[in-house]
Amino acid sequence: MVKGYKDNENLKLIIVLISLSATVNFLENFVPFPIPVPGGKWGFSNAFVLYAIVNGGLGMGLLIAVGKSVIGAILSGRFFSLPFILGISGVSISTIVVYLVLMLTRGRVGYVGLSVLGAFVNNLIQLSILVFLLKNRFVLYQLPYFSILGTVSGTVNAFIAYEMGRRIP
Amino acid sequence: MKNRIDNLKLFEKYDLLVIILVLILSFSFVLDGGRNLKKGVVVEINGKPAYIFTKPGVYRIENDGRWLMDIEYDEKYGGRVRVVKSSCKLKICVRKGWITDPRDSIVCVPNKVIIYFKVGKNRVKFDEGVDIYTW
Repeated sequence: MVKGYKDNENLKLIIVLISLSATVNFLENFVPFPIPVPGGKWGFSNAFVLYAIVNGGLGMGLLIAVGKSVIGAILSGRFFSLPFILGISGVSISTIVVYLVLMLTRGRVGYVGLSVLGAFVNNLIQLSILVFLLKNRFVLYQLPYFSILGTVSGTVNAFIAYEMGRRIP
Repeated sequence: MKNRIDNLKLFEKYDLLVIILVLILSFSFVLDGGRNLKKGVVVEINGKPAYIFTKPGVYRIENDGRWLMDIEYDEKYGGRVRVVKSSCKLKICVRKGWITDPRDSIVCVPNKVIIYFKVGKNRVKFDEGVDIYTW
């Protein structure tokens, strides 16, 4: 059983987190993104995933990650499209990596470090899938741009997740 | 093992190390000296080079007789290229405009087309140096 939703309170929290992150995920479609990529977004919905990983563990983090990707994609009409597949692959693997780093470092890496690392892994996975699909390594040259943007959005996400952790009992 | 960390701080001393490592790793992909002489333009379709243009002009790009796009190549700034018209829906490749950097590229995902500069020997390798892909 996935740890973190053994009682109704946690179940309610998971539903609220999925709803909020899916809504942000959908609304981000209307926010300008500096690099023209398939489904390119700032990734602010990942703040809820980060909060879930730190406070609920891997199972809860994956539930929020997959839930927000699926519902966000359905809302924006992109279910099973390339951006959806890129997004869900990136966020799922980055959730696992962030959780592993969190567990291995036992609190020595804070919200900001975890969030920036998550953004990097997310981008790396998505670009790697594009390299495979396009059969061209050129797309990896996007990575520095994404990493700079990911550092900015990752820091914002870290702050949101940290404040949520402080305010949600 | 406990699967969560209580009272995790916003910023820890190792966070800076993580950020530096992430940026170093990211830039390590592009620090190969890509500023080289451009010797034409390569158009890849479905992952294979389909056209190489070395003279300025407007060129029609087709795949199995189907028109994909028109591109323009001229010699300003040592060589620059843009997509003039495209059959794709969102036209992001057209909106990308001119590219001049030898590491830059235009990628049209719907048409599976990648356009980039052909560069000199012993400089940027044939399969390196792209920048932007578009949907």
